[in-house]
Amino acid sequence: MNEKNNNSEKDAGLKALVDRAMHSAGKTGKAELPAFFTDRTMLRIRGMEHHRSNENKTLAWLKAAAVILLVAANMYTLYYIAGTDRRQTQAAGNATLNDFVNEYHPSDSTVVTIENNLNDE
Amino acid sequence: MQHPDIEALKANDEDAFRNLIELYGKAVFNLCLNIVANAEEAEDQAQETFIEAWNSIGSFRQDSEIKTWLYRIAMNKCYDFLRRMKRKKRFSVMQPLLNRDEEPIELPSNFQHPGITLENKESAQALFAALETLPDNQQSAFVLYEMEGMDYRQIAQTLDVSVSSVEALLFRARKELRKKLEIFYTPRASFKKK
Repeated sequence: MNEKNNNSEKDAGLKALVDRAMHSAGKTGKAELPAFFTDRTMLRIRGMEHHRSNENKTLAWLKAAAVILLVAANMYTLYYIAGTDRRQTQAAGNATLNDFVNEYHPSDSTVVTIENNLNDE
Repeated sequence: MQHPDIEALKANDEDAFRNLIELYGKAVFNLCLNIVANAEEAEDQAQETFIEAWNSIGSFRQDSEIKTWLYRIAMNKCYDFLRRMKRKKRFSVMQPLLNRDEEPIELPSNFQHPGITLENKESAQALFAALETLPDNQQSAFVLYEMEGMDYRQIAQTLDVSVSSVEALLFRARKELRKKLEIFYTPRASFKKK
């Protein structure tokens, strides 16, 4: 009997605690806005905008620099290719018998024959 | 009180935006406060809300009130913040192993709510701790109804659900809160008896 009473008292105590906590939600009052909330928020917005515009400017400069670099590299490559062709053509036109000998190492008799043929021409 | 000029807001007019903050700053701050239960964090989340509003005002379709739209942003910001905090607290590998229903409530160490009187502080602290363990939609419905004083229709608009869903969410939230609070108070009640 005593234990039963104890249990029901315990349940009532528990229910009261839970009810009190549940009702505390309705007793929550409205807090005032912190001081200078509007100014500080606007400051953060301006700061964000400033940062974004700086970021955009840097990005634009980087893009322009990359384009210039690419164009310069391509132009250098084209000039280099054109210059190499010209040099090779000139080199081929000025070839002497010595160049031929150095390149292919023919036997002495072959060289003499070639020289004779050239002289005959 | 001046009404917000949506066209000026969409043109990112600073004066119009300042007016918007003055109109709804307090409401947004109090909503954040009722979710994160800490004045400093609530201020930060309220500022984040207005920054997000500044960035995405172009996408505001005007099919709801601007206050409702701001409330939605604020709730998302606060729940993201709470999730980040929870993630920091726990080991990420342990998270899937923990059953949310079985999760015991812990009193927040940084509880700082200027809207709560000293005599209600202890019970409110327990309630906020229990609220934190509820799913986001149940928590939102409870906060908007009990603390913000909104009616079912306004809550339905804010959460973008039907009125009957709001009723169901509130029913489940209250039931779940009672269960969590009973578990939390059980050792205390038996201690008091002894």
